[in-house]
Amino acid sequence: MSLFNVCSWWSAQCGDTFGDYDVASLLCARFGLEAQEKDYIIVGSQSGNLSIYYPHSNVFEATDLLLETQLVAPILGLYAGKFSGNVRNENVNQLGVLLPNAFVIYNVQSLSGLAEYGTQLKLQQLAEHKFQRVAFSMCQGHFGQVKGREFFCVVHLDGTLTFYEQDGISYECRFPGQRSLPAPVVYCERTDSFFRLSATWHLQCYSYQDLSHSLVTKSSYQPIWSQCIGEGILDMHIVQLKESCSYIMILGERNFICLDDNGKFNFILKLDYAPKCFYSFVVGYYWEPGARLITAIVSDAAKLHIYEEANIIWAAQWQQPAPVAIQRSNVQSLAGSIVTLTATGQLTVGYLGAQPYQFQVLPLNIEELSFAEAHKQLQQLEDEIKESVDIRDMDALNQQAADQVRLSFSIQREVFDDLDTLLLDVPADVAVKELPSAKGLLKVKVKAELAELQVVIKAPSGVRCSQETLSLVDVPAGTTRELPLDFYMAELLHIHSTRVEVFASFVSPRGIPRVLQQSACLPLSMFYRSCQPQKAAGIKLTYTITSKHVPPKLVTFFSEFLEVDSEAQALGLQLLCPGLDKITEVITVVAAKNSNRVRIQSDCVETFAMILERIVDTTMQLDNDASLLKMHKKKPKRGVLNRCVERIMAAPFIPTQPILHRADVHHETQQNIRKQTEQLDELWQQFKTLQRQLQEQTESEPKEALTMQIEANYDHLILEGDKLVEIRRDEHRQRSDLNCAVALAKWIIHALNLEERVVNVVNSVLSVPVEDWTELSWEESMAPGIDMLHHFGPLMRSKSTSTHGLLDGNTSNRDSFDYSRFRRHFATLFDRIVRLASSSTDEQAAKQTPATEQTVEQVQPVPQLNEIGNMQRMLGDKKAPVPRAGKPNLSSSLEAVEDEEEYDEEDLRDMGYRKDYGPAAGAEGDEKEQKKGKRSEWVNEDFELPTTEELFSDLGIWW
Amino acid sequence: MTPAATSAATLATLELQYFRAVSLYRRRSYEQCAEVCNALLQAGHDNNVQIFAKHEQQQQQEEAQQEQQQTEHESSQSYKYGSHLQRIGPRRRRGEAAKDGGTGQPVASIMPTWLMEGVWQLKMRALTQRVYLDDLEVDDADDGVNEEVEFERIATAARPGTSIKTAFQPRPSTSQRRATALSHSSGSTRPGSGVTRPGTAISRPGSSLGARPASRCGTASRVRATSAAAFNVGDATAALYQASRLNPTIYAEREAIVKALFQFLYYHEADVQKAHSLCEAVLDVQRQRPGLTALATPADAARTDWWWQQQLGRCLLALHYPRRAESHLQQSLAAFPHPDTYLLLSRLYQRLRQPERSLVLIGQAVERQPFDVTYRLEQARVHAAMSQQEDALQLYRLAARLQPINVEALASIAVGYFYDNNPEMSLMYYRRILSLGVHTSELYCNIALCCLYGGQIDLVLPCFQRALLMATQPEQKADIWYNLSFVALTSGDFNLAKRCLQLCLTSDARDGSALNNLAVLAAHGGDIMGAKSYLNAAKDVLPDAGEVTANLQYMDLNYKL
Repeated sequence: MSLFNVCSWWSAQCGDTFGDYDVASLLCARFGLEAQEKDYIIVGSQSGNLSIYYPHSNVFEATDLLLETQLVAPILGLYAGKFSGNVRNENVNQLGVLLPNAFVIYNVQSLSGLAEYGTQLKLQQLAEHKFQRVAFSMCQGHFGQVKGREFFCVVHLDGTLTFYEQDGISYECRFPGQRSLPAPVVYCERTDSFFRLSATWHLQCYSYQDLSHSLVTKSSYQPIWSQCIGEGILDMHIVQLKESCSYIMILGERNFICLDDNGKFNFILKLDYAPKCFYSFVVGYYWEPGARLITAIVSDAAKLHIYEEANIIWAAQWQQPAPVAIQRSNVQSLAGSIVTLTATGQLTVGYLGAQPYQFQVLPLNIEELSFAEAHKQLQQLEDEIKESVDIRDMDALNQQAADQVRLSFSIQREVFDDLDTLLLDVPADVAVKELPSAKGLLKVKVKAELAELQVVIKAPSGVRCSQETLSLVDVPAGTTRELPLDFYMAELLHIHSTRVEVFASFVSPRGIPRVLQQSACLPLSMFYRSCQPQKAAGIKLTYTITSKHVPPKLVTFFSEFLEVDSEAQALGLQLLCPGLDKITEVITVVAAKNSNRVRIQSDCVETFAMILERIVDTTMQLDNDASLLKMHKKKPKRGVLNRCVERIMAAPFIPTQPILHRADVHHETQQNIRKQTEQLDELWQQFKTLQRQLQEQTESEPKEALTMQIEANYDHLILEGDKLVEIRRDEHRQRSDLNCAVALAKWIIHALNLEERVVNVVNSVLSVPVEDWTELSWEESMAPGIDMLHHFGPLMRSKSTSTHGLLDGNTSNRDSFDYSRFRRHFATLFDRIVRLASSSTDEQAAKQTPATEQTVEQVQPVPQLNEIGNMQRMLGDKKAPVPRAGKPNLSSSLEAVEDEEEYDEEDLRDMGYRKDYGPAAGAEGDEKEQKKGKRSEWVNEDFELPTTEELFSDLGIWW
Repeated sequence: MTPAATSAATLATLELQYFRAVSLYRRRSYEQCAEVCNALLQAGHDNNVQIFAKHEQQQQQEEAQQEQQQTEHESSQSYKYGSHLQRIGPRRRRGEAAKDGGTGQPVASIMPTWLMEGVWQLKMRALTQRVYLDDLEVDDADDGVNEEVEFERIATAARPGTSIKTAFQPRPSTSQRRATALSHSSGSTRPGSGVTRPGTAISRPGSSLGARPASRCGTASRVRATSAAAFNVGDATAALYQASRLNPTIYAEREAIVKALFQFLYYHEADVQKAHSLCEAVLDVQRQRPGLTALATPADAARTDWWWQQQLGRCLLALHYPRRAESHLQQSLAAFPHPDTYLLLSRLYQRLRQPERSLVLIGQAVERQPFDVTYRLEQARVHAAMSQQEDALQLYRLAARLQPINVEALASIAVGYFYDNNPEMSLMYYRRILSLGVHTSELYCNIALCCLYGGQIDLVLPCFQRALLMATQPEQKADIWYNLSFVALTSGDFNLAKRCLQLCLTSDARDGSALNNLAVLAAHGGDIMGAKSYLNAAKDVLPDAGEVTANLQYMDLNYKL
């Protein structure tokens, strides 16, 4: 035996092709219309279509369809039986149609057709039983072993039963127990009982008598027996196999179960497929020996399994989808046919033939791989990839990116007072100050299609923007967005910069990412208001404007506060923002009458940053606009002086102490935070221990003491937590102060008369805004950089100390951060910068014009003797112009390691550095120089960050 | 029309929808059924259907009827249920309120309580059935200890040719051969299982779930990882099914739905832990009120137990507590001989490394039902797990005689022939399986291997091609590429073999055999260092594999590294 086909003998498509047929839609029955009658096939769809077929031969012909009518209501089930007592003929059956709210009984009448039209059927309505509740199915039978006619009962969706006995007599009753999902109820004639599946998946048997009396007597009744099936059921049939016994055949969701009518399990067969519907029947007669119980089960994969009892005897496969209803029938000229109905109304009469089922493997449609074609595609793909990752020509790329997305970002010069503080959710303490706000406009014009575009607007901390991000996905070309922006103070902090930066990052549909950046400055009037200038102040800075294109007048720089043609020489500005009660933070800017110097003075470090930024930036801006020579076009070269000095030069003075003081305060707060956190941890641990104790305690023990402890502990915990929050807030404020201080130093150093590289290196170390991490405070993160500058940089103290030894000590020392050491280094760093700058300024001044007394004034204590010599030598180097850069011994940097100093070569190898002497080193340096030159072509250098390589070579380490 | 008539009409449409849902459920269109249920539940939730309550009389009548029944059959329990009902659907409480305060006023009751409840339950059943996979199809008989690892590793496919015996011919190394013998005897891969257990998995409805591996769907933990969340349909009423939050003790008393709920938790949510606690809660309830249950349905009490005991055992087994599961399953079996209980117990004894007991147990079942293929197959599996290949094959043959379309039996016989150096016979069986309509990548892979060793070279590559086309899972792909490497080895194309193995590793980087074979190929090509590192990688993945250890030893001995 193998898998065979279910052969199709006759098939027809029913009128309704939607999925409106289920297991109750198919009925094979006889109506007793003629003597040699075979089975009629009746199909009723859930959309109300009723058809009766009578196959004559093995092909469907129009004459096979005897009746087709459309009922108004859905047909839920079809039944045939002796429903009417008025009919005399014993063999005549009526057709019962179950509608949602009625059960209609029809008499089927035959109209013999003329000549070739064939017979037709006609339905004559005998009775209609209406009911309120919607029906689910129907159960018929000779209830109470009545002879000659059948009673029926309608099973409703809500589980009630309506019995119809005799004519017109009906009553409702319910099965005891809880309501279950609608499932078929069957009647067994032999024991005159009903079987139903209860909500708890028990098969229960009720006697008809109990059911019919329950309503009359209002008595409770019990099932005669109950067996746990343990699963939901799909369908259930009663088959009488012997005189003494009928079987309940149940198709469960996973098992095929057979019980006898006394509730004894005959067998449970575990099915290894998903069953769909089944039909059980007896071959032979139950009153004769040798009757066989046959069951046909249809699987979801359209296989028909035929079992004799629980043993499989045949398996066959349908070519069409699995049917939802199956019946065994005796149609004309094909006895024992299998009638099936699919969910789409395909009605088939089939038989089991010995034609083996052959699975037809679909042909494999694989296109012949063309290597040339594939190669071409690969090439194309590679080209695309190469193109998108090619970063050799950075300028062109940036240009291209700027073409794709046009960004224009501007901030209005004027400030406004009409800020909607409520809408923008400004904290109350800030809103109360009624600080001015600024308006800006960001225009984004997308020229090419983009997969993703994100615009981030980054304002300095303390200032907030009304919209900080803009994200667009799948942007079509030509999209334009205009964002009106409001900038306003959100926190009472010292602001370190007026610069607002806009980053637009986007990804093209091909996945190539690009970033654009633009910035604009907030008006100073947002942060300051003019006031009376101060005569004297603690910190005085002087800038000399050396550019010819910049008129050294205050109007040039502070147009917000002065009239266009104002000739004011002094301007006092008061800081608005933290707006402390006690101190007024005033800064005074004075322009010299007959020289091109500007002096800035204040008592307060925090006031400087924005003013200096304004002065330096404006000067550079104006000079750049006027001069044809673009600054950034020049290649950075070794030994070149800070080019900024050609436009503006700061007097070499850094207010070291105030700056360091800010760092001190910040560091102290950091320490406090740490301490506080540790304390909290401890308390928390305690809290947990107490809780655990509480849990472990038995019921009987008193809990008061422990509860009190817990409460006290909890209060403490909350208190300390609040403290931590407070300290954190302080820290935030101090960080912004530190920001201002560092920015101040940065702007001074930016315009100092130093070698450009030194300026770059130092400025990149002193980056603002400062950042604190939970693991690492700003001081700790800065320490290595400062250390490096201290020991190896152009500012190295002395040549005599062993470099590698120091480095070694440094690395091992990393764990323990020594703040005093950091502070010392920081101080000396500033010190040296100032000394270096002032000496060079001196020299320059000596060369050009007599020294100004102001500059001299600022100069810090006279450098020590040996350092002067040092300095002089360095200056000599510095003066040596570019051509000398390639020469041996001077190749790597100006502070060049002294030749006479002996290095232990072994040591250096240990350190991982390569040491070269003499010409070789020079040659290599030369090469590097060239390489660097190439490299710097693609470095986008507005403000170039040195690469590690450069940095290290600057710092006198061969790489 | 009177208000009563309209309300009846609207109710009738709702009920008709419910009928449709039930009808869909009966013909296994679970997804559609769930959709209809969703719509119904939505209608119940939204207040937009304005219908009036039923006639006062009718209502009272119904109420009286219910009350009567409640007092009669559920007595004390019914009121408790009432308080819990609201947990299932928020609407239900209102329905009850309408009933309780039913003074004839038109109260906006959307849907009768029973209907809402029924729909809810039906949806739960539909969802459960949709993803139902028989956990007894799980093949975890022989890997009780480090089940997780083993499952990851053991191929889902039959892997004829995994044995290195034939593969390592290019490498003339004695240690290699020894290793082969080892691996073969340990029988770490249960052959053929990928193709063999089609059961519910393949014929399962809801083909939209094609993404799921068609073959066995792993142990409980495996199920937990994949089944539930992955297949959630767009579900407007998903909030109803916050199964993880439900309180087992509350539901344990609701006999009508608790079984369905258990199956939902176990099969759909794959939350075995939760299902287990539900089981325990139910058994607790039954234990606490023996009198009541006995009084209500005397026959029930004992027999309800077998089901819950079985489920408890099932959960415990899935949670890896075989010893605790044993007593429950034994009790269940004593109460009622359900086939699942037999199989679970047999699985349990194998887990406990007592396959003999398992054989004895299945033997009892076989005596009762000598022609039931299920038990025969289980016997065969136990024998196979005990490395009694001959007995296993005999039983598989018997199963194939009893049920000639049983794919597992056919595939096992085929694998037996294959390892018996009889690829032609094996090919015959595989083709038989193919003609039965089983159409999977594993099958094609196996046919290809049979063709390869049977000398039908022309069919090898097309079959592999089909296998590759049909493979969806990375593990399947890895297996196919691994097996393809043997084709390359057979034809002597070591470069191709290397590439195949590398492709295998791209699909499954933790394929120890592929790493091992790559090592051998590398060593063959002279790249000793490469070989060594491959072997070490293989050792990481398969610490117990004999081949890898032997190869490493061999390298240590012969190459001074």
